[in-house]
Amino acid sequence: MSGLDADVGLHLGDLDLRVTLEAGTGETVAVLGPNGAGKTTAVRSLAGLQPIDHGRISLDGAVLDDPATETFVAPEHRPIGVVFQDHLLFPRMSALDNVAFGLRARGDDRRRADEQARSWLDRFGLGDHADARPAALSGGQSQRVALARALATDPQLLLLDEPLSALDATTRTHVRAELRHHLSSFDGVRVLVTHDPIDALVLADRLVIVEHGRVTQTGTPAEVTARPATPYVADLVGINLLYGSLAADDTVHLDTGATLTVAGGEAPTGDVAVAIRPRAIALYRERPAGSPRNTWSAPIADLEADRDRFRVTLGGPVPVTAEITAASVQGLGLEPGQELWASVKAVDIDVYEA
Amino acid sequence: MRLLSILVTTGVLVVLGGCGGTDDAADGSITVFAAASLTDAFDEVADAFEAADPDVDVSVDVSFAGSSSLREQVLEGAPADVFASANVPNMDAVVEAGAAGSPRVFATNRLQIVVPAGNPAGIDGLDDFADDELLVGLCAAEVPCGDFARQALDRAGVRPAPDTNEPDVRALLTKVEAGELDAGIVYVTDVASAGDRVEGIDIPDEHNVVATYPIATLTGSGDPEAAAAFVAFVLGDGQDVLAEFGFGRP
Amino acid sequence: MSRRRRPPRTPWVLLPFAVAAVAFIALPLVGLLQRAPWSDLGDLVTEPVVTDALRLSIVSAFAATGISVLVGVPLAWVLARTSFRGRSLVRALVTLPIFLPPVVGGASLLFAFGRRGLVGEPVYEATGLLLPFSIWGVIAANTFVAMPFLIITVESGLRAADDRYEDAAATLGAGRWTVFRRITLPNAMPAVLAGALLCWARALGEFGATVTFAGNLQGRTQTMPLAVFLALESNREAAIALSLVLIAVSLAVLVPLRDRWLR
Repeated sequence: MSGLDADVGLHLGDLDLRVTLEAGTGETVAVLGPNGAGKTTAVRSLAGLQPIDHGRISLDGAVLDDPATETFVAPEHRPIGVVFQDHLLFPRMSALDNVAFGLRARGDDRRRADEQARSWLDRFGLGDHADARPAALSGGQSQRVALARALATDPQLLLLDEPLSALDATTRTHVRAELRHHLSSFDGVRVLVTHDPIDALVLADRLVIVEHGRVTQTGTPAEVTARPATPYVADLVGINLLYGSLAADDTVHLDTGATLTVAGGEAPTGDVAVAIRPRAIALYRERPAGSPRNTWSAPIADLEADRDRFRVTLGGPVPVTAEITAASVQGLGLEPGQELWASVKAVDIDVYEA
Repeated sequence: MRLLSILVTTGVLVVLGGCGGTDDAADGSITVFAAASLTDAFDEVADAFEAADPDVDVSVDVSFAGSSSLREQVLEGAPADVFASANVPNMDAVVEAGAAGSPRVFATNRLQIVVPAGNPAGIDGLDDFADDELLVGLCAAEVPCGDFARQALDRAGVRPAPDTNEPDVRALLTKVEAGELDAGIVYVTDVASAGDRVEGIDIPDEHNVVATYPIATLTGSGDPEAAAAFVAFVLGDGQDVLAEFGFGRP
Repeated sequence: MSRRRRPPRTPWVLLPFAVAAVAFIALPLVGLLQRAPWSDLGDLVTEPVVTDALRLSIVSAFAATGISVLVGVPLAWVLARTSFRGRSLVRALVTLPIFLPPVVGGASLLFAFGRRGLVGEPVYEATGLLLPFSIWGVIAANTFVAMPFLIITVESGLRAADDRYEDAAATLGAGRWTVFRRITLPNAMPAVLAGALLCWARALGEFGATVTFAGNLQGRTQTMPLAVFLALESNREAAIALSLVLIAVSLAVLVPLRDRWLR
């Protein structure tokens, strides 16, 4: 029984958290969710910084937290390494002392600990900065020291709480790639918390989506992207998601009242989720000729420029966001409140069981 | 803004309240500086004085401290009306500075050894004050009680080894009463005032010192009439009160 | 080329109050300096009454501060970081000496540790050890009045400190003692130093509790404040000399620290 097997139930202030997390050795699981969803709390409970009220956390067969049997292993006795959001490098210690801290705390003598710490820093390309104080390091350097510090004690579980959020955009891209490389060479379990979908998609083998204290979807990045289960996820991956009921004649009667015709698929009749990519929606000033099946008139609710494209949010019975080129915008002369015609082909509508 | 106006008003009131403190009207109040050994005795004298003449409405505030401390305060200009000292030198200093009128002796006092009730350490005389094993105390040499005690010990040929020199005689008395000291040298009046809580051991007359207590009105007094009246009372009807406490006649 | 500094945005109305505060503190010092017997200062300062008192004051102030740090810092940690029933009561209790008139403090110490005291009596009967009338009594009195200052300063410093570093240390495998030793204490050092300084200053100036509990004997229990008090009545010049020495010693400690103790 290797890997992480966690059933976390706890109540903290307004948050009521009940999530299950499983991760195998050598696997990176990303916990993704909006702010306040409870993902940081869940990770803190894995670290032992927040005891759970019910459930069970076990790692490689050893129970770390089990309220039912009153078992609780304190953080200092868990084989974990944590990379915190603000890195939390000890400000009065050098980078070397920071990395060596865990080793010395576990009983290694100074020389051994320093040797090991130095080799870790070299591995991360920070050999020259061994004696620098955290305040003198750049964001990217500090993140690497934090990672080295967490890995130096050879943990079985590596926890990363928003590891890239403290960095600016350019550094983030670069560090993300590095992090991917480092994570893949670590052979324990890795759990990563983030609100940035790109982090999750790049770094994770599996995603666990947490919203309002509950897991709303799990799966590989590809699975989640293809079939988002909630509006939050759909929004995350940039897809329009609507709910309705599928009838035998390939029509979906949306909860909003409109009806769409879809192409035949594997989804059974009944409650379904309908996904439409923004680029699949065409916009016209007047009712298009040769009407494709799904055509409707809708007012513009919002208009947003996004580099060389425009995102047009439509109101009305089919509330979706369409993405069109700047050139098309010019032709259409768009303004908020304006009535447009929208259409989407049946084959461009994904239907799946809700 | 409100807070600021409250602060300003308070400040003004404090300043105004402070003023007028030294204005003693004809029937107002007088302040008497009295030696620490006159504690309790002078409180009663003051009460008796206030009650004596119903036509005169004067209230008396008595302030007790070591005589030398009071001398300093008077010389620095403290607003007192009468000074009652436990020895002559302190009064002389005040008179020389022109701060007091002609002093009169109003009481005498003698020294006595004081021990806690039951005399646990078995003290029997002045020689015990040379014993290192015992915890004994004297008044500080700067105050009259301490000065007289050292004179008495000198006459008895004893070199004292005190464990403390208390700043005033009442502090010394309290420590002996509490049993923290085995013995001390205080005035007979102090021993009397502590009742059953202490015992007194007499000092032979040939060693003992007679303390002479002078009293005088102060030139800086705000109410010379009332001050003079108080002094007259102390020298007159007040004598009986003082005798009750163990003071000797002048 | 010098850059022009932005003028401070002081509300000018505060200035007179600030000046008044400084003047209020400075004028008595000026008065003291003005009456100083400068020509005799050398002789006065080397008199045994002065050197004895100075030695006692410095030794007992440092000892009291040392004890306060040893005992007070752990207590401050407990008050700041743990919660137990009665915590507010404990905090109120250890802060009490600040509000107690020092003489009352001294009397209370007698009731507890004097020869007839609650704890003092059995200890004296058994061992012959006694706090009053010895330098240990002075140290005890100083500690009693000064330690609370250290405790509240350190407690507030610990409360304000970021305890996330302690979480990080725990996840790295540091037990509670290691966390305290390598993370909490170093982070709290400014507060500990500020508290120790307040404590030392209070102990140095302590009078009421000392004279009531330890007594007054030159060379054994007569600290500077006691010596000054008695000297004022008999030897004014010696009193001023003593005061100047006390001020000089205090400045010698405060000035090198400059702003460091505030950081």
